[in-house]
Amino acid sequence: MKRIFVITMALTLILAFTIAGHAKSPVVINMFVGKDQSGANQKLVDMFNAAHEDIQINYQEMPPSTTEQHDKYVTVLAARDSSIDVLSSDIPWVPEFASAGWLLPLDDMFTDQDEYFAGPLLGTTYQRHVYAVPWFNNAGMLFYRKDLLEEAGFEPPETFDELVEIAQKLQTPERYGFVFQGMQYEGVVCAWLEMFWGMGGEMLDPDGKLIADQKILAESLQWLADLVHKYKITPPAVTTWKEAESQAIFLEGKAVFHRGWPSVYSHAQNPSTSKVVDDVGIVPMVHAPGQKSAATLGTWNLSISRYTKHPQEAWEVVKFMTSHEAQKIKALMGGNPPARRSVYTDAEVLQMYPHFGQFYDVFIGALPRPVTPAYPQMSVEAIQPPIAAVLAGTMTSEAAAADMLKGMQKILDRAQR
Amino acid sequence: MGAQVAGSATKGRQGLSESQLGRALVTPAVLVMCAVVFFPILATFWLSLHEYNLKYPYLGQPFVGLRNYIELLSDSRFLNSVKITTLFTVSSVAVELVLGMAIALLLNRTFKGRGIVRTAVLVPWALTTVVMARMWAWIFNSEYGVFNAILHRFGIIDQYIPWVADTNFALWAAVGADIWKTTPFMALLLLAGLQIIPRELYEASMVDGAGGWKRFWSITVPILKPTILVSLLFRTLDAARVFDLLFVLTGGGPGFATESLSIYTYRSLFVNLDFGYGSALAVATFLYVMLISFIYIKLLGARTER
Amino acid sequence: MSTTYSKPTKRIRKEHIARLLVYLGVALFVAFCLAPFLWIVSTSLKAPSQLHTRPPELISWPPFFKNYIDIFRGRPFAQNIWNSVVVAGWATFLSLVVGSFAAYALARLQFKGRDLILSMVLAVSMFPGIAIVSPLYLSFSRLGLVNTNIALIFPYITFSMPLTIWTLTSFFRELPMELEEAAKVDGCTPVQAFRKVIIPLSAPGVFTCAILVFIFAWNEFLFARTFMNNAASYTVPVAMQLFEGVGDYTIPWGQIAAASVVVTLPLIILVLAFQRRIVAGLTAGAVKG
Repeated sequence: MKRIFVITMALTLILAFTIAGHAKSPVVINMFVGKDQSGANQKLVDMFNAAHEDIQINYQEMPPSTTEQHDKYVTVLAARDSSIDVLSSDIPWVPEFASAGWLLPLDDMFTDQDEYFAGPLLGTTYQRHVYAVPWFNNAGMLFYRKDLLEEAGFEPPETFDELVEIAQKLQTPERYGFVFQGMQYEGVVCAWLEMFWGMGGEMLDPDGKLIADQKILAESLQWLADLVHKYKITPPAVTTWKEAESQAIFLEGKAVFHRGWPSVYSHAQNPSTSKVVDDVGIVPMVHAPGQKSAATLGTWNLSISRYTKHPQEAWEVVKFMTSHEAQKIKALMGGNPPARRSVYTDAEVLQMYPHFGQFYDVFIGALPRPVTPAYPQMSVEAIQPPIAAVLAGTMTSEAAAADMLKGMQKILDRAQR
Repeated sequence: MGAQVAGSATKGRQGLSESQLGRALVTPAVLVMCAVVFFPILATFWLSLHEYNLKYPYLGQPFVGLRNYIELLSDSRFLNSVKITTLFTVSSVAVELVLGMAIALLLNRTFKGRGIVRTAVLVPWALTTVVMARMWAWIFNSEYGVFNAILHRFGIIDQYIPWVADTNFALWAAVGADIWKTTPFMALLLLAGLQIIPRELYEASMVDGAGGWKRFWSITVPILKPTILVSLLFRTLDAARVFDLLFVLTGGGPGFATESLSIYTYRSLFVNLDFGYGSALAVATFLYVMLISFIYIKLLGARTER
Repeated sequence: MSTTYSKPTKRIRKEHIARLLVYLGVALFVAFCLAPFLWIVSTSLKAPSQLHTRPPELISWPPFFKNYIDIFRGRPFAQNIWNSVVVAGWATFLSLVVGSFAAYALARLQFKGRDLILSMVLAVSMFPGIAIVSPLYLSFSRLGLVNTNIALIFPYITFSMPLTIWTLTSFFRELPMELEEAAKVDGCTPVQAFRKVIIPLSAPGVFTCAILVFIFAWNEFLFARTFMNNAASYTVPVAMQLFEGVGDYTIPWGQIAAASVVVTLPLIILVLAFQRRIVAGLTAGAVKG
């Protein structure tokens, strides 16, 4: 036992010295990214590694579930572990990780911010420092059945009332009016925020103070409940649906409208998964008369860990990955809507994905979830339960709005005392 | 370690007295348990008296006394997790006891095939909980799950049900999986107890003309009572600590529908990164479990005194 | 009494039926225990297209053995199994070495504080792991022990030590007292009595205990999930929780089932080989209270 220990120590030391002694060996940047089915990430990594002798990317894929990814980053970063240099982060994590002191501020390096949409930048900036570069965009939007609407002589809806009217007219016993993600989890908050914002609601002021109007909170919750209980364009089973379920229903041709993320479109155009190829149109989420459409951002970003030993090299990686060229490759290969606005006017991209024009319209009005490190806890403890309660019909929207407001304030107070 | 202590002492030619030897042999184990259990629980308690959130490093780590505990009392998520834990524990243990007893009585009457039965019993017991939770997730699958298929075939449901995604069913799906895993073990413990009941007792009461049901209540249950209580204690404690099964099968969801005390504590620590409040939750979980054992031990003690 | 003549045949028939019913019940119970696992074995031999049928096929033909190869591709699954062997092995070894002496003393020797220690062991065995996870996590991350096997072996003692002491104490109690008496008469000190008489006799009990502790350590999830966050350091339960497709979003149920079978086989072999002992070890503590 003792001998094994001594031998191991000796070997480790020898190894350490050989590594240290090799001045020429390249700096390895560990880059942790969510699952990528397209192969675009691998291609970018290969391109980078071929072009750089002194920096090599060690590409690591994370679990596909966003929650799992979050928890894993948290346990690694909280341990001040230097095994992560560059990480991809979902937009609501940026203020959280930045507040914890886990991310490097990128103010001096990230200088071409005007190339990006306003919403993602709001989300990656915390207390006037920017902590992440948007990599590819993601935001909620309304998918509709072009064929059904055209046949009945409807224009795509712009307001809440129009959506309800069309859905009621076009739904049948086999076809729901409007489907979305209604399970008690982060997805339902994203869907609901679009309604809240679309009614003119605001959550936090730039200083992070809660300014939500209780009346608008109640109205937006009421509308959500009405979809199920009054207008009956959404079935009660919505409370068991996440993205996969609602999308499957829409692609089966069993729904007129679907609130979803951009990737729905490529699935809808794939004949092996979809019965509605070429029948799907995209518009921004509906809004109240006199208000603007809103979309909840799910942008993925690249950040640098505070514990990296190679900040300079890590930035080279981030710079390359978020360049126009790289975002174009990600768009062409993976169908990921780019974060840089310039890619949307690229002829090659537009030719392959004409619908990116419509995505652009959505991203212009897209907003990050409330930018505070307290947001994840607010969402789970203060926002999701009242939404679930009104959807299930066990609570009035007024009581739910009051609960939500009180709950959010309590959690924000905890972050400031 | 113990051997060294004892070995060097024999060299003194005199040998150790029984009580010296006893203490020497026990010391290492006691020290180790102190190091891994008692010091950490004290540390948890100490943390729970502080404000300490890794997400808000600017708040520092001030001592806040019992504030975290006071906040617990008005935390609806905490009260919910106590409710969920209790529901899970009571319902799964109750069913396991009744089923386990029935199976033990059944097995006590058979003589052939003991080996097969024993192996069958041990499979659910030995199976890794995480593995069994994923297995049940597949069985309960809302699209292709065999559970839905069977219920559908017998006309009990006309539509497949997303068992673990539905607020009304998720907890019961978990209870069902737990019953599967632990009933056999319960039966095993009870069977061992049944086997030490002398046959003559039954024969004597048969002569008295007592029926099966009466014999069960007048002979089996009183004699088996300590075994029943001990098995119940083990199972209740296990169920009250439930983490793996719920974490993997439902993730504590949907919403908080299956969030047990252990899961809430875990989330408070490693999702909210609130090490102060999370530690208070950990202490609360500890107290909850200790309260249960205290009740059982009182019951057991009351019996032995008689 | 007047019907005595016809009773024997009736009773025999009745007993036959009762017997039949009992065996039917036992068969049902065995099916209840095994069916879910057999279903997973069947699932592990299905290709994705065979999985997505409604209603599911009992057994799909041809069997799809590729699942058993694919689980080792693109993920360090073999490494994860090895990690579990190492961690569970060390935890078992350490708690047996330390625990067996304590168990011997608790079972056979009279000394002050014996009851106190017994109740302490019991208290530790009732301990919820979640109650100590926060300080352990903070210390391990400060000491740089996260992702090392030490971070698991150490906390595993929380359950392996009481289990060891508990099982072994009841085992040592069953060895006849006369053994040491005889040794003493022959002029042995208590230490020699322990070495020359007890150790050889206790091999089966220690072995049983080792199997139990190993199975418990193999199955542990909470600590492993918290202290291991690098795919190459996962133990089996963590790897199984996070088991997913390689380069794919769909949940690979066939592969998950195959992986389940692979990691369960060692346990089933242990159970098959040592069922009698395991049952004896498990029930020893409970029946005697």
